[in-house]
This record gives sequence, structure tokens and C-alpha cells, in this order.
Amino acid sequence: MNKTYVVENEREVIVNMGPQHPSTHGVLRFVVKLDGEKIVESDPDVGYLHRGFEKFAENMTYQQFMPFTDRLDYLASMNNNFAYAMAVEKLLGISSQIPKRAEYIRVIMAELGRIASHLVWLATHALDIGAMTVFLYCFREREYILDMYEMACGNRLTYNYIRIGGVARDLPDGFLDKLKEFVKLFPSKVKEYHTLLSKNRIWLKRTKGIGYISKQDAINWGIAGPCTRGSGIDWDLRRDMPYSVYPELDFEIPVYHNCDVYDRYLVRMDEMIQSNRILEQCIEKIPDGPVMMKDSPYVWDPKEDIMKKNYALMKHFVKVVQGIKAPPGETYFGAENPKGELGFYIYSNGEGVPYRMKIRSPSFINLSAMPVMLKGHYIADIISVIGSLDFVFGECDR
Amino acid sequence: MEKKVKIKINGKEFEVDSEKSILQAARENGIYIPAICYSDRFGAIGACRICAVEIAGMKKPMLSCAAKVKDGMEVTTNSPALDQLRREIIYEWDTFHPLQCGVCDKSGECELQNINYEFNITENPKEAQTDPLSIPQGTIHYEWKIIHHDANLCIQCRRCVAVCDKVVNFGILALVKKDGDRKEIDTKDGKPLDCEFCGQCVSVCPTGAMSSKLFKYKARAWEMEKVPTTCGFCSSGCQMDLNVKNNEILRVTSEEYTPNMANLCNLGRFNYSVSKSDRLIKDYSLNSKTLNQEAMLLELSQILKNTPKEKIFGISGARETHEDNLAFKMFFNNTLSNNNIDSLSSTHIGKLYKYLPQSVNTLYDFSDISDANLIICFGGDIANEMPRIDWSITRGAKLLKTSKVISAYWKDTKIDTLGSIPLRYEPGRELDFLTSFAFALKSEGYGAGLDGLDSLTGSEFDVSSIMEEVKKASNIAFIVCQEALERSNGEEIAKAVSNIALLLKDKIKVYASSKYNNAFGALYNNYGSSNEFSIQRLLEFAKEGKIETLILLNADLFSFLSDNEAKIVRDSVKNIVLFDTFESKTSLIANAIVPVPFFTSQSGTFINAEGRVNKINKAIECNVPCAWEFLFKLSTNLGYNLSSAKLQLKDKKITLNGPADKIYTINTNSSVKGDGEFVFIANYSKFRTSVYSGYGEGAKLAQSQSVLHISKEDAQRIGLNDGDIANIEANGASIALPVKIDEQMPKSVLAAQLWFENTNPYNITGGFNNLVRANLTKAQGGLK
Amino acid sequence: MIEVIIGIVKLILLVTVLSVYVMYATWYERKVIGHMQQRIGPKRVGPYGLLQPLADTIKSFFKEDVIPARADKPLFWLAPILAPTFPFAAAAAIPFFPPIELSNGTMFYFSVFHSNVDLLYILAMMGLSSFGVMLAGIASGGNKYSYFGAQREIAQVVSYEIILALALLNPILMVQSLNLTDFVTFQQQHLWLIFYQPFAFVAFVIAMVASASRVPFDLPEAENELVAGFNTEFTGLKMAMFFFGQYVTIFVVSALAAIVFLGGWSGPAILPGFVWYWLKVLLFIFMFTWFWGTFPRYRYDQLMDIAWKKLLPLLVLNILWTGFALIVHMPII
Repeated sequence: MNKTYVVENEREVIVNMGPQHPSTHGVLRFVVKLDGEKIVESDPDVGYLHRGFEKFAENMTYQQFMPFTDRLDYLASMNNNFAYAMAVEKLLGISSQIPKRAEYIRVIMAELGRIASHLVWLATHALDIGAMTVFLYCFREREYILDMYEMACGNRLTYNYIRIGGVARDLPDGFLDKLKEFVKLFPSKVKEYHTLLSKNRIWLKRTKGIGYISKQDAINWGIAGPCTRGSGIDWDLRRDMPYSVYPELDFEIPVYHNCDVYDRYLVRMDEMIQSNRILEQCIEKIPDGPVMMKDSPYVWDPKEDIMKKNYALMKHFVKVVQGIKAPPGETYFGAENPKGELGFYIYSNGEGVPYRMKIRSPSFINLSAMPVMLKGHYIADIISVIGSLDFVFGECDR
Repeated sequence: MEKKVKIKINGKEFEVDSEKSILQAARENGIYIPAICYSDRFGAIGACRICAVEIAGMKKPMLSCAAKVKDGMEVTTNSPALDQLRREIIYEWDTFHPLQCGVCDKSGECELQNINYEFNITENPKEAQTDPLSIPQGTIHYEWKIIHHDANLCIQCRRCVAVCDKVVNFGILALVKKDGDRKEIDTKDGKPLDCEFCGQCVSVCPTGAMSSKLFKYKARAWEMEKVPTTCGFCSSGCQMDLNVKNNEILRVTSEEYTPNMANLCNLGRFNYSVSKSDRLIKDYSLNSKTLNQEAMLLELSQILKNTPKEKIFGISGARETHEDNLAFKMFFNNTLSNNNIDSLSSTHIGKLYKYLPQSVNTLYDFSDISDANLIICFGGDIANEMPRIDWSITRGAKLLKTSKVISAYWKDTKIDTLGSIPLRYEPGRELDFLTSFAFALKSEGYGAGLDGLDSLTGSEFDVSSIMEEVKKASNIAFIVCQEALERSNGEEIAKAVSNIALLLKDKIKVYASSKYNNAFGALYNNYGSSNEFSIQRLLEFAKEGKIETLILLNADLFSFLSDNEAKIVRDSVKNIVLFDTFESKTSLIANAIVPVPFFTSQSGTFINAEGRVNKINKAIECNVPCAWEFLFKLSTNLGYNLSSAKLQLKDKKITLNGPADKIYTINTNSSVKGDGEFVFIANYSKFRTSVYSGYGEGAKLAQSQSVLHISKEDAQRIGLNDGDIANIEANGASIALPVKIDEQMPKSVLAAQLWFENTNPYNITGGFNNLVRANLTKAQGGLK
Repeated sequence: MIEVIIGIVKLILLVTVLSVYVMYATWYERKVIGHMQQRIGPKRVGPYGLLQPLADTIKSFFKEDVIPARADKPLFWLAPILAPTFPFAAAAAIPFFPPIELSNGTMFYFSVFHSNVDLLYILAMMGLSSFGVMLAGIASGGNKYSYFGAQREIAQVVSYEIILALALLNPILMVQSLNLTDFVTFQQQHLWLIFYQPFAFVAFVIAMVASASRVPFDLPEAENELVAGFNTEFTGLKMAMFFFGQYVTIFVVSALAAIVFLGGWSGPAILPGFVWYWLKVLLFIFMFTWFWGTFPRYRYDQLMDIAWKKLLPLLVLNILWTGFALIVHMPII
């Protein structure tokens, strides 16, 4: 936001939407120049939630930063944990040594996170357009997922569950049964949402043809995730730049070609079903075994060792106080998050803390394309476009 | 002289100095070889064996810290065999190391932890030998002062032994045999540690075996914020880090990349508690009434307005920051438009730099001392005056073995253990040595063509023993100690030193020692440039009633005058305004007291004896403004706006102005004051640089009171034993001191240390003098 | 004289009853939508949360009353007063019970005000009720959201008052009266008017939702777009007044729909007339809630679109058809 708006004639008015506004999903400030209710110009202004995470990262050890990633996209904390852990593992060169079971647990958590995030997206998107009931239906299912998360790691919002080198602890007894139940139940719930919205005339009126961004524009603006797939681009990092155990799993990438709010809506609805499929397969395929790497200089030793063996205790002190010494070098890793590609660029100079960390946040990049999508629309369409882009300010402003 | 050789390390070819060890060569070129016991501070020890490398053609791995590079050498720093070898060593250490990281002060910065992490030790084949949970059997030296030693944590790298021997040159620690075949670090004689308490052994210990008692259990290593600053105890300007937690300094550390190579003395390392002394002045007070700052400003400006400007005098203690010092000078020169101001540096180095010609008065780095071929230390016990210079001498003479040392003093001192050429003169006969030396130099043809060369005359003092060395040397460091300059004939000594410097112009570097941390800053700010007033004339001026208001900036009258003289000053001056950090005898008699933050609580600069402008940084909060801020406000009240003045120095290093080259005529006629059987000398202890430095724990524990050094014979004759109280009488005054028999003391010489609270030796010598003939009697009963 | 006293008593009763009705309408609505959304709704205050409306009322009395510095103070006070006034005025003509014949032969009407032009009066008052909202927008001191909200309200009312009037014109043509009692009497004699005028009924329902500014036509206060629309700057009791007006409007249009299209208190004799009447009213009120729980919100231009491009021409055709049918005395009528 560096433009100054000038009202050119009497008909025009400038409105500051946000940073305190009920449906700017956090603290987006959106400056719009209106002619009546028609948008003449618009400009998003971000940064109200800037907490300096990238600078924080330069002052804390790799493990210490994990809880911070929870606070990026706080609706999909597990996915952020996952992406960060993968990035650091790539830097450390231990990506291939993660125990299989841990990988499966991570994928289960990530896909549950994707569903949970999409549910919140659907809930708020519908609420913004005025459909209140969908909101509560979605939160009902999300609650189920949060319960499962709580089982696994004790938390309901910021999980800090995935660790560099594995996951914090094994799945608790009964988790997989609960997951099975969820997986069986969930498609019928998605059908319910479809009933409420997909054929609803008002819904169609509010979403079809709104927020158009062409395939080429989507690529040019660097939009990622469901938003690109709604513009007819068949691109998903899970399949196209595979990581973790995704190559072993069978799933489809939903792609729609109308480039509008409605198609982005359909992509996400389908993605939930695909995530459900992935979860089904994970339940089948998850092996037994350890959930954390052993004897690596980059992970903490088991607590029993630390209490009994002096070398383990000594190493632990170094790992905690000075941080794990990553080899010098730089790395970038992008993961397919519910919102799009969440990437971590880490530059290490061999010390216990990164020299520089850059977070590529999908929310920020998707948001930047908003003025393109809003050209010629009405003030009420801002809301549906915001909903369809599905950004979270924790991530956008970092 | 240095030859370059080519060596191959891990297949890469490098060209390095032939003098270097393999480890140094590798580190210079960015190749990492693990090493525990090696440090550039004290060189190779060869105890840890971790740094072993493979050299082509050698059957066994060699220690890279000890092996010198040779032309064509091929070195491998890493191989499975080496890794195994190193692991074996670590297993050995781990086997006997107790499971105490949780309560060990070293945790988090421990090199044993680091090496365990680096090698990622995941098993220990030897762990069956001992149970880490059992109670360790090694000795724990609870009885040592200041330093705590727990032999169980020791991995016997002998770094402490090396640093004590090769850096500090004290050599009290050794690896000694204990019962069985066990070895432990202990004092050589097995008695409780009685040393300089510099804590160098603590700073080098890779584990928690050597630790500071003052710091024990206060905080964990990672909890403290390290604030880099400059030590404010003497003019060495050692760089150190104050470790601060909760607005309190908990310990002091230093890094190896600093100019002082992480070396700190007792005061720097252990005396940080001065900063929280209960004798800090916190309030503004006027005639023992506490005021707030505004009221104080008004009252003070009233006092100053009521005093005729020419009757206001100022003395700077040369201990404040450069900024305060300069502001004080400006306050007098501009606001009060007079120059009735002097600093305590005029009592010693001021004399020297008044005469030292411009061409030789450059201030040099201390590291040049270590590189000098010949080090002449004159006029004092440098180890007591400025330990950092002592360590530079030790480094040159003992570690690098590049320097020869000449010690010209009346007593054997620590540097004489470095194999110096001793020149012993009687106390008070310093000029004999200097003039003979100058004469000898002239005879050798030095200084041809200089003005007044003919006026040089010799004396009976024999300097032939050193002339050979002087002639050979291309690079001489000449260290002038504060003690010599503070003699009553200090000015003549300064002139004589200037003559020598001028004669050896091209190859001499003159250093002067000062216990006042910003003494050189005061010189730089042209203190002592007044033609009328100088600090030596303070008493005279006071008696004549010329002084109505005396402003003291960090200057304690009782630290450079005898009690009687200070009283005279008090009685003849109407207002004494004291800017000071600590309560002192002066603060009891001052009319107005303005608090000044301690150097740990303010930001600014000090100028050290190298001429470096060293930054100090605020580490702990205090609500007292710097003296310069107060002076600026005061100046505004008096109608002169100083606020545009630039106090900060841009230069990194300063230069001083000096007179043109000139050979001075020396007046060698000097007589020692008083008459008595003994010569009494007031000199310095390494544990004090001021009276207030005794307010800290470290210094107080190391030496709590001034003692009378006396030779064994004299002591026996008078019937004194260690600890007895003796009365020393001279000039109609007397002081009582506990006795310490010092075998190095010459006959009929006595010495006591200044700046202790138990006595003021100036009482018998008089101010601006530190030598007197005195009588000694055994005191009846104890101390009064 | 006695009539004046009776009128005053009726007025007091009306205000009391409607106030209680509004309080419990909120409770009813929250309960209903709660169950639609698989939750419970208010339950903490009193049994089944029955005291919740009371608590809310008390709370709104004690809320801090904030008046923006730039606000137009007299208007800022006037707007919340006007907001419920006109709906109340409209409600004055709504009967609460079927009229009864007194022993002296005169009819006693259970409405504050009875005349032969009931319908016209109600429509007029409904049209005026947007004044409160309009003033709120103007008084809010340049708050753009309030301004937008008021602008939308006026546009909406202007559009939908026409639809409302045109939709009512069909029954009026058939009944040939503006007296509400006549409508009921007509429907008691014939079938309910919904069967004669199904399209007019649909149009009336759409228009009545729009004129009450409820989902899916809650544009003037569309929270997600305009923060709180016209009442963004209002707090406490002032804000409550707007809601008060809205709920009374809902009651008025519901009662109107019940009387005009569903036969008012006519119905099978198994239940007394007034029960039928109130059931029908509650049905409409339930409908409002049902819409709320189901529909998203139309966009402003789409709302206008429906009114002017679809409903208006069709209703004009409908009137022409009704007129034609009346003239030729088609048997269905």
C-alpha cells in the first residue's frame, strides 16, 4: 500500500475496509475507491499482524522455532510444523532417514489439517456471504478433528507436534479407530454442505463469475494452491514435487477451469474428499516402528538416556542451549499447504541458529492478486473474493 | 626472517610460515581440527591428543598443535582411524565425568559437552567401568579463595597449568600425584591457593572443574546477556563482557579475539560487585540534605554564581569517561572561562608526557611489547601496577621467546623470574640508573647531533650489563612505571626518561603505566596545561585562600593527599563540590555531592595506555544521569549553553602533543624526605586501583588490607612476625600496618600499598610523594 | 370520552404486549435457529433461557452510550426514536384478536385504531419507517458504513414498498375494501386469497422480507460487508431501538400476510379464531427465522434486479389479469 487515492468526482468515495472489519479475516486493511457500490480501485494493505517471525528465527535454535510455525497459518498448524520440519531436515540432509511411521503420522496430521483448514474456510466463506448455518455445520466436523489432535498432542490450536527428525510422540491408543470413524463419516457431511450451497441460487449468484483470474494471470501473480487449481492449472506439490510418503498414496488433484470464486469453492470441496481418501489409505498402510530418529546429532536423545548417560546429557545441553549445528548452506522447501505453497528458505552458516530464514507464505501472495480479481465488481464481492482466497493473517504478515 | 613453506592439508596446498604448527596453519586456512587443550594464549600443551593428525610417512598420528610445519608435508586431518582415535579419547573423559551437567555452572558453554556433541557420541564402551551415578572420589577444594576446583570434573587437559605458568607467570598450579596413581590439578605445594586470583584458570577451563566461587549457582550461561565493555579499573583498557541478568552483573568474561586475548586480572574478572556496592552514591545531597536533581542544579548554580569565577577550581580524578572528562574541562574553560583545572594524571604520566618529545611520545599497542627484542621495565613492579603489561612481557619472554627482559627496580619482582637482567638500585636512586644509561647510550654514539647532548653526565651506576643487549636490539619497549614518576623528583625522572627515549629514538617504544583508567584521556583533553594551577599546588593555593569553591570529579582527596593535607584543604575551601560514584572519606567532608554512574551503568569511552579509544556500554540501569549531562544543565543555568559541544571521539586511537626534540639537563640532587633507619615506599597492590576498587568482593577477598612488606632480617631484628602490627613513623606522623615478611625485600626497605581502607600511607610520605625515611617499631597490643 | 380512554388503554396494552413480544421474539428466533444449526440456543438464564431476553434488555440499558464526536447530535437522538415509532404506528392498526360484537350491537375491535383504510394506513407507516434508518445514516457523522447502510435501506424500501403495495393490490381488487376485517370476512365466505392470488402472495412474502431487512435481503446492516450498516455507531439502548423497530415490522408484515392471504382468524372450527390467527402469524415469524438459517445474502444490485426487472413487470401483469378476471366474472373468483 503506497498509493494515495484522489477522489476525482463527487460520485466517488474512499472506504477503508479494515484493519478492524468483521470479514477481512484478521487484520487486512483494504482501501477501496467506490463509485456508488462499484469498485473503481482497490489496494490491500498488510502488515498489521507483523510479528517479525523471520527475525525471531535468526535468534533461536531450529527446534525453538517450531512453535512459531504454529502461529503462521494457525488454522493448519500441523501443516506448518510439517513444512518447517521438512525444510530443516532437507537442510540437515536427513530427509531420507525419518522413520516410516513418523512419515505416515505426519501425513495423517497434515491431511487432517487440510480438512480442518478447508472446513474453516468454507464456514467463514459461507458466513461472509450470509449463510450462517454452514458455519456451524463445518465447525461441528472440525471439532472432531481437533479432538483427534488433542488426543495426539494435547493441544487444539497450536500443536507443536511434529519434530525435526520425526514426531513428538507416537499416536495414542484408539486414535486410528477414531480416525477410521471420521473417515467413514466425513463424505456424507461434505454432501450436506453441497446440499446447502452448491445448487443454492443465491450462492451461485454470489460466486459464479466473481473474482475472475485467468490462468496466465494466476501464474504471473504466483498464486498457489487451490486458487491456481480453480484457474485450471494442474499443479500440486504433493504430486509434482513429491515429499514424505505422498508418492506411495493414491489421490487425485481436482482442477476446475472457470477461474472464479465458485470454482475455487469446488476445488476445495473436492480436496476435502481427496484428503479423506489419503487418510483412508494411511490407516491401511501405517507401519509400526519408532517415530523419531535415533542417534542423530540433530535430534534429542531419549529422556532415559539423558538421565543416565553423561554423553547424552552433555549432548543434550549443547543441542538445547546452543542449538543443533546445521551444515553451512542454504535450502528451500515448499510444501502443499491448505492455503497453497508454504515455503521455508533457510540459510545456515554452521551455527546453532539460522543466519536467515525467509517464509514464502501463500496467503501473502494470493492476497496480492486481489485487486486483479476485483476489477469492476461490487463492494459485496470483496467479501466473496476474500473468502475464496482463504488467507490467514498470521501467515500473511508473519 | 619468516620463511614460507608449502604444505598439503587434506590434498589442498597452502603456503604458511615455517614457524607455525600444523594446527595454526590449518586454522589460518579455515581447516578445522578439533582441539581441547590448545589456545593461542599459551601455546601447545599436548595433553588432550584430540588434535592428532596423520602425516604422510609417519606411522603414528602426530599432535598437530605441537608439530611444526615442514616443507612438502602432507597432512590428513580426518580419517576413520583418526575419528576412532579421537572417540577413544572422548570415551576416556566421559567414563569418569560425573553426571552433573544439570548443576554445573559450565553447562551450555562447556567444551566437553561441545566435543561430545561434535562427535555425536552415542555409546561408550568404557561406561561399564564406572557408574556415573556414584559419588565421585576426587578432591573438591572448598578451602580455596575465590576459585573453586572440583577435580572430578577435570579432564586433565592442563590448560590451567599452562595459563598460570605461561600467561600469568605465577605457576602455582600443577598436575600432582594423589593417592594411588591418580593425578589431580592442585597447587604445587598442596597448600590452599594463594595467588594473584586473576581467574585465568577459570576462564580457560574447558569443563566446570575450575569455577568462580563468586558466580557459583547464580545463573546459567545462556541466561545472561553479554554486554561488551572496557574494564574501568586501570588504564589497560581490557575488553570484557559483563554478563548481566536481571539488571545485575553476575560475572565477567572475555573473548579470545579481544586485544587482551581474554586475559583479565583479579579486578576485571572478579571485582564486578563494586557496581552494586552499598556505598554507591545514589542521591544528590547538599550539606547532608538530600535533594532532587532540579533543586541540586539550582543550589549548585547559586553557589557557583556567588563564587568569583577565578576562585573556582576543579580536579578530575581521571577515572571518569572521556565524555565526562571533556565536559568538565569545557565547563571550566567555557562556562567559567578559567583554566583552574587539573587531573590526577598530572601526578604521574602527566609529568612524563610534559617532557617526552613529540617524536617519541606515540602511544603503542601492548601487543608490540611481546614482539619487542628487548623489554626494559623501569621504576616499579609492573605486575602490581598493570597486570596486562606484565602478561605482554611474559608472552614475549616466556611463550614466544622473542624478547629479553631488563628489570630496573629496587627489588626482585615477578618479571625477574623470566630470566631478566636485573638492575637493582636503591629506592630513590632511579635517576642514577637513568642518567648512566643515557650517558652510556651517548658514549655508544646514539643520538648524535641532538641539542644539549653534551650536558649528559653519567653516574657510578653500572649499566654495562645491559648495553650489549641494547645494542643488539632493534626494537625496544621501555616501560615507565607509575611508582617512579610519583616520586617527589618525578619531573626529573620524566626528563631523564625523555632523554633516553630521544637517544634511542628509532627503536624505542615508550609505555607508561597508570592505575587511573582514563589518565590518558585526561592528558588528551589537555588537563594540566594551566601555567598557574597544577594539582601539586593545590595545597598551596588552598592555604593562600585562593580557592573558594573546589569541584572534584571522581577525585578522592584522601587518595592522593595525606589526611592532614586533605583536612587543610577542607578547612580553607568554602565549598567542596564532589561528583563521585562511591562514598569515600571525601564524600563525608564535601558540601555538595552529585552522584555519577559507575562505568557499568553508562555508555561512553575510555582512553587506555595504548591510546585506544575504548567503548564502554551500559550494562545495568541506574537512574543517575552521566556527569556530562549534569554539567551541561549546570552550565545552562549559569548562562552558557554547552549542549552543542561534541563529546564523542571519532578517532580509534589518539595522539598526544609533546615538545620538540630536546635533551634535558637533569638535576640529580634529590634528597629523600625525613630521617629514619628505613626507607619507606608507598607503592601499589594489584588488587587496588583506587580506594573504591576495594568495595568489590573479588579484590577484598584477595587482599583485604594494606600490609607492610619487610625483609626477613629486618623483621627478625625488630622481632616482627607475619601478621604483627608495626608502627611506621616519619615526618611526625605514623601509621600502623600488619607485617608481611617478604624475602625479596632488600634490607632496610619497607613498602606498603596505597588505597586500602585500613591506612593511608600518604600520611607519612605526604602527598605527591611516595618515598620517605621512616622509623619502625612494633606496636604494643593490636590495632587501635 | 370513554372511547378516548379505551383508546389510551389499548395503546398502553399494545406497547406493553409488543415490547414483551419483541423480547420473546428474539428468544424464539435464537432457539429456533439454534436447533436448526444443531445447537441449543440460550439456556443459561432461567429455564430454557427464558429470562435471557430480560437479561439482554437490562444489559442494553446499562451499556455505555457512545456518541461520536462528529455525529449530528439531535438526529443521532431522533433516529433511534423514530426507528420503532413508525412500525408501532403501523402495528396500531393490526388486530390482535378477532373483533367481537358487543351486547349493544357495536363491534369491539382489538386494534388501537380501526378505520376503513387500515391497509393504506399500514402501508404509509411502513413507508415512513425507513426514516429512522435514514436519519441514523446521516447522523452518524460521516461514517461511510452507516451511510452505505442507510442508502441501501432507502433504495430497498422504495423498491419493495412498491412491490408490497402492488402485491396487495390484487386482494384489494378482489375484496374491494381497505378494511382488514373485510378481508377476513371475504375469506370466510370464499377461499383464502392465497389460492386466488398465489403469485401475489409469493411477491408479498419476498417484499415483506425485504422491507423488514431480513436474510436474504439484510443488506442495510450486512455485517460482513458494512460492519453493522446504519447502526455501526449506535450503542446500548439506541441500538436496541433499531432492533425493536425491526421486530415490530416483522410482526406487522406477518400479521398482514396472515390476514390478507391466509384468512386471518378464519379456519376450521376445531380451534377458536384467534388461535388460528396467531398460529398463522407465528408461522410467518418462523419463516423469517428459517430463511435466516438457510439463505446466503443477495448482492445489492441483484436485489434491485429482482424488484424492478422481475417482480414489478410480473405484478403489473398480475393486476391486469385480476382486473380482467373480475370484469369477466371468471368463475374461479
